[in-house]
Amino acid sequence: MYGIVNKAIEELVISNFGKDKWEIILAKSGIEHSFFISNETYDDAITYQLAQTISQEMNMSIDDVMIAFGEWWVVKTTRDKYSGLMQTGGSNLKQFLINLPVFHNRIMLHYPKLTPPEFKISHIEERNLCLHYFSKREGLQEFVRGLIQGLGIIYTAEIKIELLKSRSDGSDHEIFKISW
Amino acid sequence: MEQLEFNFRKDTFSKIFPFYILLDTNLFIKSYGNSIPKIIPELKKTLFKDNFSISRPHIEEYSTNQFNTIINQLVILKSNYTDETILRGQFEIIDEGYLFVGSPWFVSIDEVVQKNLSINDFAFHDSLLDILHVSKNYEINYNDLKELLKTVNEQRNILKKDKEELNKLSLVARANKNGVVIFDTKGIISWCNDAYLNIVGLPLNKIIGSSIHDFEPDKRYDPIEIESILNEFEKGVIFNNEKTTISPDGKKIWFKTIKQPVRDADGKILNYFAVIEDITSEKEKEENGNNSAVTNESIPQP
Repeated sequence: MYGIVNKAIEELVISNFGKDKWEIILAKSGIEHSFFISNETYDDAITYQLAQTISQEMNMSIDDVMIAFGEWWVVKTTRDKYSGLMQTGGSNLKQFLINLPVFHNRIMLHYPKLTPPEFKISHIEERNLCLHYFSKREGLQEFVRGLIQGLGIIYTAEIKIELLKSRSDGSDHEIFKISW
Repeated sequence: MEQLEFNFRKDTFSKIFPFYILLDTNLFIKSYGNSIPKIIPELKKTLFKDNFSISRPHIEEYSTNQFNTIINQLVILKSNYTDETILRGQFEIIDEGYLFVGSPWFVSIDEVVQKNLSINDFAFHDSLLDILHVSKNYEINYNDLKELLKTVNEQRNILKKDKEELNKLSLVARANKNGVVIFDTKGIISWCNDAYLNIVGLPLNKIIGSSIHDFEPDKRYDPIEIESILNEFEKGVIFNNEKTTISPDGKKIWFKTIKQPVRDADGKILNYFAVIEDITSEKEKEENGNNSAVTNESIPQP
C-alpha cells in the first residue's frame, strides 16, 4: 500500500484519540516505521497490522475499524489532499458514483506501484445503482462500505447500502446496491 | 496508395475533442466543442478575433494568409472575455477553413474546479487531469518530506539533549567512588566503572561479557542458586544485600550491594545496574562500638 493510506490511519487515530494513543498503537503493532511518506510503497501487512491493533486497542471489531477508516478516507484525507480532484468527480452523489470507475481507473496511472481495485456501475436508476468492486486484496469490503458512507456524508445524502454479493459467498467480486 | 479519410459526426468529434473550434474561410467561428461554453460562456459564433487572441506565435493580422503560417505549430489562445482562460493546441486546414484542436491549460486542479469542469468535460485520452494529479502528488510528497525533516530535526534535538544528559550521568557513574556495573537479565556485564575494576581486581577486558556472578562480592558457585537469581532478574526484583569478602592481603572487607532494573517507558526491563559500596569502615566502627559497649558493660560502675 502507498504511505498515504497508513498516514490516513495515523491521522484518524490522532484526530479522534490523541497522539499518545497513536504512539501506543504503533508500539503495540510492532511496526518499526514511525513516519510514512505518502508516495512510498509499504508492505500491505503494515496496514493490516495497524487495523488489527486499533481493533484490539479501541475494543472495536475489525469491520468497524475498516468502515471508520473508509469514511475518514473520503471525508478527511481526499478532501484535505485531493479536494479539487474529488470535485471534478461530480457535483452530486449519483454523478460521482457513475464517474467512479473512470475516476478510479486513473489511480493506477497516478500510483504506478499500486494494484488498485476496479469499480463498475450497473442498474442505474433514479435513486439507486449497483457498485461492483473487484479487488485482489481480501478483507477490504467493509473499507469500501466506509468509502460509500463517506461519499454520503460529503454529498449530504442519506444512503442505504446493501451487500448483494460477496467473495465470501462464492462470487468473484462484491456488489453493493446503493440507494439515496 | 489509398488515402484514408476520417469522417465524424459533430457529436462524435466533440466527444473526442470537446474543446475544438472550427472556423470558416472568413475566420468566423462555425462550430465548437461541447465543453468550450463551460470555460467561455460568452463565446459567440462571430469572428474568431472577437472571441480570441493568439498569444503565441505572434501574427501580424487575423487573416487566412497569417493563419497558414501557424499551421504545424503549438498555438496558445486566450479568451478575449477573460485573461485566465488559455487553450493550447494546434490549427489544421480543413475544407478551406481552420480547425483548432486542443485543451484548456491549467496549472492546478483548483483552476479546473473554478471553471466548474468535471472529468466528463475532458476526453478520456486527454491526460491533463492525470498530470495535474501527479503534480499534486509531488506537492504532497514535498510537504511530507518537509514534515519528515521537521520530525528528524526535533528528534535530533531530543537525542542531543538525551546524549548530554547521558554523558553527565555517565561521568557521575564513572567517577563514583562506589562500584557501578550494568548487566542484562542473564547477568552478563556490559559496562562498569573504575571503582568496580578496583573491587574485582581485574582489567576491563576480563570483565565485559562475563557474568556478575563470576566476581566478588557477587560470586556464586551453585548453578541452582544462579538460575534462581536470574529468574528474579527476569521479574525485575530489587536486590539489597551485604556480604564480606577477604582481600588478597587477608583483610576482611564489607560490601553493600543494591541491584535494580532499568526499565523503558513501557516498563520493559532494558538491563540491571548494581551499586557496590565498601562499608568496611562503618562495619568496623559498628563492631568497635559494640565491643566498647560490651567492654563498658563488663566494667562495674561505681
